[in-house]
Formats: sequence, structure tokens, C-alpha cells
Amino acid sequence: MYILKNSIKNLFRNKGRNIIVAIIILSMLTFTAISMIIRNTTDNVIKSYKEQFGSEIYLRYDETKIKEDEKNGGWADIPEISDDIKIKLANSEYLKETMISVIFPSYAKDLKGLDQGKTESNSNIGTAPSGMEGYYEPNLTVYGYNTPDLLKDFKEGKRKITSGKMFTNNDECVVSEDFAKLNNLKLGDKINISDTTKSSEFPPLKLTIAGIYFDSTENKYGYISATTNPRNDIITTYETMKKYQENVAKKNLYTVSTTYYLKNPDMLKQFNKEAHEKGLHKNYMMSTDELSYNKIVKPAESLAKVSNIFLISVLIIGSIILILLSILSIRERKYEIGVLRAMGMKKGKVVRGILYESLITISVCLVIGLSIGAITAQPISDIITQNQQDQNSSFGGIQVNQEKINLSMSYKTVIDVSIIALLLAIISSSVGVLYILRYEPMKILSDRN
Amino acid sequence: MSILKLSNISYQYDGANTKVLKNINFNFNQGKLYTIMGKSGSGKTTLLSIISGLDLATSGEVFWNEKNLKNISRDDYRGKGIGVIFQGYNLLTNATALENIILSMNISESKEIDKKQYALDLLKIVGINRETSDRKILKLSGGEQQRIGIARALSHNPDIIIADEPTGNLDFDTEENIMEILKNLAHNQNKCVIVVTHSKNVSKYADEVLGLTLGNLTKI
Ligand SMILES: Nc1ncnc2c1ncn2[C@@H]1O[C@H](COP(=O)(O)OP(=O)(O)OP(=O)(O)O)[C@@H](O)[C@H]1O
Ligand SMILES: [Mg+2]
Repeated sequence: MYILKNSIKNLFRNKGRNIIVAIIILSMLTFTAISMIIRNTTDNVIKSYKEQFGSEIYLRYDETKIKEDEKNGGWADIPEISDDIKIKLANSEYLKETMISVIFPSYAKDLKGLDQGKTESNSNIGTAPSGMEGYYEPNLTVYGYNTPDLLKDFKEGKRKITSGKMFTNNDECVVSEDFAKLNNLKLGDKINISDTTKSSEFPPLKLTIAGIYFDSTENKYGYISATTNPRNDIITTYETMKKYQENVAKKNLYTVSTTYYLKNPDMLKQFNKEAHEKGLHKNYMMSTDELSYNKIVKPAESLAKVSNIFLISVLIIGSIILILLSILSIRERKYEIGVLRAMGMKKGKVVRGILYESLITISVCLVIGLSIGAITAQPISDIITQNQQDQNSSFGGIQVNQEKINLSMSYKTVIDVSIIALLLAIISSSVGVLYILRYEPMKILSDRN
Repeated sequence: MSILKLSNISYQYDGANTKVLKNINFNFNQGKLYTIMGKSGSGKTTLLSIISGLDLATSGEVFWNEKNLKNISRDDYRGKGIGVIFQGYNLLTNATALENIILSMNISESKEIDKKQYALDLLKIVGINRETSDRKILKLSGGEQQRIGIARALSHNPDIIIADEPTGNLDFDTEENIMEILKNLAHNQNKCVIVVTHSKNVSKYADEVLGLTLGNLTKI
């Protein structure tokens, strides 16, 4: 007991030195706490990104492979990927599900599309096939999906079935309220849709309206036409389209696009490997949405990296200062230890006394440091999160629905910081302890006298 | 039976080429005050540090109540068996006089109930008043520090008291006073008191005067 009391008194006796030590340890612990908070926050950002987008995989060019090819002379070989391969890849064990979709811009002579005929006013845009000889301008677009469950607009509430139901069987479709109204369509009506060739030799696609949806999505293409107006979207099953192409049209009407959903974002590598083994050309790869990845995850990762480097430098510099300080104060320490030993205090008790001093200093710093950390955690995290979002939306990237990360000082942070504090305590007392363990008291004393 | 027995003690500092102490044999008894005289550098402090278990002899043995110091805890010996008054005081300079004494009593596991009062009484005996007792060692004169060192050596009531120039910094009257205390401890409380000194005046209190010359300890 007297050892503890003496340690406490000693802390006050050597106020000057101990205040400097305390300030250093305090700043180290505060930086540690703050940096861990930053880490937790960025980890959360990355995690929430991965949860929302990390398992959504697209087929895209592998730019690095293509550049390699070009560097090795000539043109890179970029063959078209067949629909068969795309669909075959959907059977991977790494996938939770796959969305297969086709787009079929088409023409129905009995129906009118919204904005139909308005293309003329955008005549400076040459891509619209309206003026082409032998073709109609499409007045609607048929979409075929293998499952209605993955339709984003419906999932996010931008589209909603207001009467009838979502298509379930082949040859069923849903149309928008505006489109239905324009054409006086009701549930159960059949519509005939053809391709845009004026001299079509095969019969039209026949669809039955199973549902009508409210649509609040916007024209994404920047010019007004029947093709780009989302109210003209007619949605049916992929099977319907497939059968129509294979059995009726007997010619290519569309290309398949696929979005693969991994069971776990970490399986991307394996999935890529498997895809290439199954015949995916080497200049293609499976990848997440690179753009939003770069906008969201990259900054978070680099922030985490910076804060890590910062933390490590603070810890290293702080430890060096602590060691220097304890070397500078070794004369005092040594004398004190010599006196205590001369009075008959056992080595173990002297060590205990020194450890108590460090531990008391550290505990006080720990309480203050963690409090500072706890108070600043939320503001710091908010600033980081806000920055990430600003950066993201200012680049026009996807808006990640980041839940406001509620950071109270986590249990883990407290433990981590405490472990670091303990290490600091050991560093700051080890020099003195080493002396005690090595010398006879007379040696320690006579060195000074 | 001798309370302290030196057997063939030799000592050589690391790196030195001659021995400071050569084959010293001597028996110290309770109830007696010894003084050891010798020129500066003759090895008096070295001898005391071996006797007090602060350092180990290069060769030879020290026996305390027939027990070889090598075989017992020298910490316990220092804390309980012996009281040392150092030439350089060796007090905790940032602590007060009173704290120094009480800490020493704590280390020695003193059974005194009111340690503070006991320490204050001791300090009074060596001429340190209450006000001075609460001052930090750093702020005390050499003579005051020396007397606190004496009080500390007595605080755990050891059987052996060793003093290295205990009156070196004291005026004549205080010296007489301190030597009376030490003599009284030897003669009336049956302690073994060993005092290193240059002073003939101090030696006049001795029951036996010893000389340390050329590494040998002899009666004068
Ligand atoms: N740590 C040391 N290392 C090497 N030599 C030392 C050491 N301490 C003392 N000496 C030498 O040992 C010899 C004896 O020293 P010691 O301190 O015992 O003398 P002393 O008799 O107490 O002298 P004084 O009367 O001046 O106090 C001296 O020559 C001294 O220089
Ligand atoms: Mg000396």
C-alpha cells in the first residue's frame, strides 16, 4: 500500500517531468482514438458500399489487358461476347442471382408512343434512326427480364404497379399509366408489336397487359423522342423475347445484357477466374461499377491509409520522445532507485512503484484521451461521411445511401487504445526497470556521488 | 558471538588493477562503538558498502549473526539488520525529511503504530524541528541532511549502525551531540556502531579505533 502512496506522491514531486510525459502520452492517445474512429468510419463507408454495390457485377472490357495487347503491336482483339456465354456464366456457384435483360426498340402501328414524332425538333441529333430508309422510327421499347424481382425502379419505388399485377407468365406485360391512357388500353388487352423494318416478313409479338404501372423515372438521354421516353417502356419476360426471337423472328432482334449478383463481394476474384475458364475472352472481365467504386471506396481507402500513416508516425515519434525523456531523467531515476534499494526495498517492489507511476499517468491520460475521442468522434465521422457524399454526388456518381454512421466510442476502440496505452506505460518505465535489474545498489549510487 | 564477522574480504573495482581491500578479517561485537580511520581513498566507503550489503566483495564472506550474507536476502539485511548513514546522505531529494523517514520505516516493515510521531521524535533527537521536517531535502543544508540521514538509519531500530563520516558537515556542538547519541546506542542499547571518520575528536568516543591502510584493517 505504501508503495502505491509513494508512487502517487512521487508523481507530484516530479511534476515538471510528469506533466511533459502526460502531455505526450495524452496527445498520442488522442490521435490514436481519433484515427481509430476515422478507421471505423471509413471501414463502414467501404462496407456499406460493398453491401450495396460490391456484389453487383458487370461484364466489361479489361482496359489493362487491352492496352497490353496494343503495346505489343497492332489492334487488341475484342470479340463480341455471345449471349450464350453470358447466360452460361449465370450458373456460377459464386452467384446469388443474375439479371438477364434484353432491349427491343420496336414499332407498333396500332399504338402511339408518347413523344412520338417529336424527333424532328431534335434533328441535330443524328443517331436517331428515324430518317433511315426502310425503317420506322420506334415508338416503344420492349424490355425482357428473367425476373421482375431485380427491377431497380420498382424496388426503389420510382415505378409502382397501380392496377393489375406484375407479369408472371410469358406473353404478359406491364405498361405505364400514361401509355395506357394515350392508347385507351386496359388490363387484359392484347397489343401487337413489330420490329422497325418496314417490310417485316414475320408476325408481330403479341403481349397481354397484366398490369399498369405509375412511372416517375426520367428521360435519361437528354433528347426527347419516343425511344427515350421511359413511359413507352413495355416490360415482359426474357423467356417471351427469347421464344419470339428463336421461333418467330428467326433472326437477331436484341443482345442480352447481364448483371450478376455475387453471394459475397469477396468472391469477385474467383468468379472472374471461373468466367475465363468457361470461355470469357481475356480482354473482358467481371467487375463492379468502377466509377462509383473509384468515387466512394478509393477516397475512403486513402483516407484510412493517411490516418494510419499519421497514427503510426505519431506513435513512433511519441515513443521516441518518451524514451528520450526517460533517458534524460535516468539520472534522477537511477539515484532514486539506488536510495530505495539501499534502504532495503526489494527489486520487485521498486519495479512495482515505477509501474504504478506509469499506470497512473497512463490511466489519467486514457480517461482524458478517450473522452476527447468520444466527444470528437461524431463530428469527425460526420465530416468524413459528408465529404465522401459531396465528392460522390458532385461527380454525378451513384448516390450511396449511407446511413448516418452512429459512432459512439466502440468497445473495440477502447480496448485497442488501452492496449496502446499499456505499451506506452511499459516503454516509459522500462528504462528505469532495466537499471534496477542489472546493478548492485552501491554501483547505482556511486555512479552519482 | 560476534554480530558481524568479516572473513578474507578482498575488493577490486571493475577495471582497476589493484585491490582496494586485501584479505580483511575482523569481528565486530554488540555493545561497542568502533571508529575506522584512514586516508582519503584508502577504501573506507568501499568497506562499509560491503559490510552493509550494498555491494558484494570480490572474494571473502560477511557473516551476520553467523549467517553468510550470500545465503540470505541482502534486502532484508539492509532493511532490518543494519542502519547506514551515508557519506553522501542518499536521501530522496524531492521528498520531505519526514517522508524519507516514514518511507524507510515502511520498507523495513516497522511495527510502530504511529510512524509519523515516531519519525518526528527521532528527528527531534537529531536536532531537526517540526518545520524543517516538512521541508524538501533539496531545500536543506548539508548538516541538516546529514542529521536526517542519521535519523533514518535509526528509524528501524537495527542492531548494527554504520556511519560514513556522520559528522563531517556538522559544527562542533552538533558533532558532540550526535556522537553522544551513537555512544549511547552502543553502550545502553547494545548496538554495534561502526563510524568512519577523519576526526580524532570523533575517535575519542570509540571503544576500539581501527585503521585502514594499504587495504588492511588493523587495531590502532
Ligand atoms: N566506482 C569506482 N570505480 C573505480 N574505482 C573506485 C570507485 N569508487 C571508488 N574507487 C576508488 O577506490 C578507492 C577507495 O575509494 P573509497 O571511496 O572507498 O575511499 P574512502 O576511503 O572512502 O575515501 P574518502 O575518505 O575520500 O571518502 C579510491 O582510490 C577510489 O578512487
Ligand atoms: Mg568515503
